[in-house]
Amino acid sequence: MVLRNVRYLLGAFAFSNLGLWCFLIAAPWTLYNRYHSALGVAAGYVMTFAPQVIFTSAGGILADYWPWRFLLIASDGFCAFMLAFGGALTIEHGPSTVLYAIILAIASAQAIYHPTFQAVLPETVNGDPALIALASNLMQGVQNVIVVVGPLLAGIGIGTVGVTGVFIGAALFFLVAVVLNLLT
Amino acid sequence: MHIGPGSRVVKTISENIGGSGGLVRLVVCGRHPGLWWGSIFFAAVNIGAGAIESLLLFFLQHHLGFRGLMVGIIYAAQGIASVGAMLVIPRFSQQWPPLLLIVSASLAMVGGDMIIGLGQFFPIIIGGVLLVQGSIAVAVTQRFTYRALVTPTDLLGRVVAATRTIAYLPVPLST
Repeated sequence: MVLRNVRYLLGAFAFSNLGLWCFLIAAPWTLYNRYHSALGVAAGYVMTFAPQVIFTSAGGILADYWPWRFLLIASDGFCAFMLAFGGALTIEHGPSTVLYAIILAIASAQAIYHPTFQAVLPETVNGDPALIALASNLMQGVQNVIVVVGPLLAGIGIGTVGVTGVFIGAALFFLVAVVLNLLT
Repeated sequence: MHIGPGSRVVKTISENIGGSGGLVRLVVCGRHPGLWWGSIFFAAVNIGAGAIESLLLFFLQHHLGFRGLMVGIIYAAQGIASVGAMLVIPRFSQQWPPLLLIVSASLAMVGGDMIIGLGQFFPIIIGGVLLVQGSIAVAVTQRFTYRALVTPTDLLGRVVAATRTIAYLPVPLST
């Protein structure tokens, strides 16, 4: 049961990260093609990192007091909605402020997701030190694989189905993560 | 798996100060040497890693004159090193305590960075990148493990958030 839960949790983590990496490649790509300026892309990066610093503390408090499953599902579900919304309405021709707002919103959701996920792993393995080490290693492994696969997939996606398709695909990855979190 | 005395220290602090809000987070991180210095240490690592990561492409293309394919192989090597490290970490973590592994991996990271900086040839740069990225994977995994082992479950969310915030603060600066 414990290992089953870890599998589902790490599966959700993998899909969530896959969606995130597709977004992290597609968003600056869109900004660059729209502005052709370093400043426009840099502003996107600032909006990606700033909420991580500003909201992570709030995310940590939520992770300790709120049910972790709700937080993970809410975070992934919110990202899926924002990406689908962004993909459908804004990416090709919509106002740039909406794209920046989507970047800011997804980065803020990640500031809640990551402390929650890292806090829940030890609980999932009932605090067993050996399993904590194993789960941490697997989590890092999943992250490392996704760091390779995610950008690759995003690049192929941009080349074949376009940026809007990648945004929609990323939204689907986040939705799969929601389902796996529900099953955990 | 070796476990330090930290879990008792963190538990005592959390019991003494009640256990709510950002105060707990700061106090726990501030008073637990492993967590506090670990966060400062990873902030320093991120300064170096951020600077190297942001300058690597420039260094490879403009300084060393590597072509696109060679640059691509070097970046792919980073991913391969991380995945490779995942395979050896369980063996390491059974034999050595997390803090020793973190320090050892960091020294290896410094060595790898020097190899990248001083090496002029493609295979040497690949070796340096493999060493740096593999070491980062070992250090980060051990950090997660150590933090989870020494922190009570009811505080873990806040401690993760605090250590993560401290460690990531210098990233925009270094980039």
